[in-house]
Amino acid sequence: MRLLLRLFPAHWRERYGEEFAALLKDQPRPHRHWLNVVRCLIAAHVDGRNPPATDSTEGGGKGVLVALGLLGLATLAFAAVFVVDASYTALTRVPELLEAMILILPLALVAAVVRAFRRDADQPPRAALPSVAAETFLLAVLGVILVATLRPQLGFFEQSPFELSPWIELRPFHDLLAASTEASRSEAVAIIAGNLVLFTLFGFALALRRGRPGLALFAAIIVGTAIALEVGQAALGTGRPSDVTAVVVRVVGGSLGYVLWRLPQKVAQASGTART
Amino acid sequence: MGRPAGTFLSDGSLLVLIALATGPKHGYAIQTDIREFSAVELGPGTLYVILPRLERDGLIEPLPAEGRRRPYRITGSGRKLLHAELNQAGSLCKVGLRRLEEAEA
Repeated sequence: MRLLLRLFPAHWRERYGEEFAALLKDQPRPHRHWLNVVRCLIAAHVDGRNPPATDSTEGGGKGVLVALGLLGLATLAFAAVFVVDASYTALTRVPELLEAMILILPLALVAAVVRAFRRDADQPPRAALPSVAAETFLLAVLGVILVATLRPQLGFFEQSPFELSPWIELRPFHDLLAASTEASRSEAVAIIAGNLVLFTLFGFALALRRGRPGLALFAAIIVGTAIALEVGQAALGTGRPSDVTAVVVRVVGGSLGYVLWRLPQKVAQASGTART
Repeated sequence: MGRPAGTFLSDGSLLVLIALATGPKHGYAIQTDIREFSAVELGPGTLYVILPRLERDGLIEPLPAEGRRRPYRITGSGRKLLHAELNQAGSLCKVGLRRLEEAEA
């Protein structure tokens, strides 16, 4: 029976493990119920894809922590860019991202609210709030990524087509390593930093939205999106190079986002076990 | 499926909500209560399939643990849903019994 209890998902054991073990102990003949416990085990794994919303106080606390963490992350990322990038090219990218956010955020909010109402008709609205927030966040990040990556490059239409290089760059970090001028080096750094930050946010938002994503599915989504964006850039004729560097940086960013989402939980789990 | 609103409770969920209607109870108390009023044996595993789902749907809420046991309490929306569900079951009973009587008469 103890072995069976170990097979429950971690979040389930954390929340219900103790009281469930107590209930089993209360049964006159606990071992008679093993098949019934297996049924519960299967349900816990199936239901685990939509884990119960944590109570509002806990959720609020976590939400604030997440927001602070993201703010800190963004600050660190920009600080890092300024250290590396003496000419502050990255700064010129900020209005571009803000513009994308202003465009995307209301759309994401509307889409998330509509979806939440359609899906959770029998759920009190307050219980749906964390999932709506997570969904809005994910849609917003995805929208900003699409706008920032796929819209035509500034000044693209003034260029004659003959001035454009073919622009499929398969050598990783070639733009950065082969940059001859300070300006082109800064431009390469800004592109790398932008992709890293956006995909860290994307990975984080994806993990947050899915609750407890399977790693294989998570990796497939991140890698798929990273490659699809480069293919999209070429197909839409945006004037941006299709570059293997961007794919590598995005996958690193996405993984970083997952780790940032998972790490606080690991730490909380470890300290929780230490206390009992 | 097109079930009318307010009728999505399973039999087990209905029994648990009825057990909690008289006040907060922990797992074992819910089991014994259900056995007494309905003669249904609800296994511990079945109970812990139902409790997390009811909690997720906001129909019951957990109270602070007493030792290793945790009592649960029915919420306002749980009470409302139970009311609707029992009313519907009641009118079904009436129709069914009347038809049986008519057929036997």
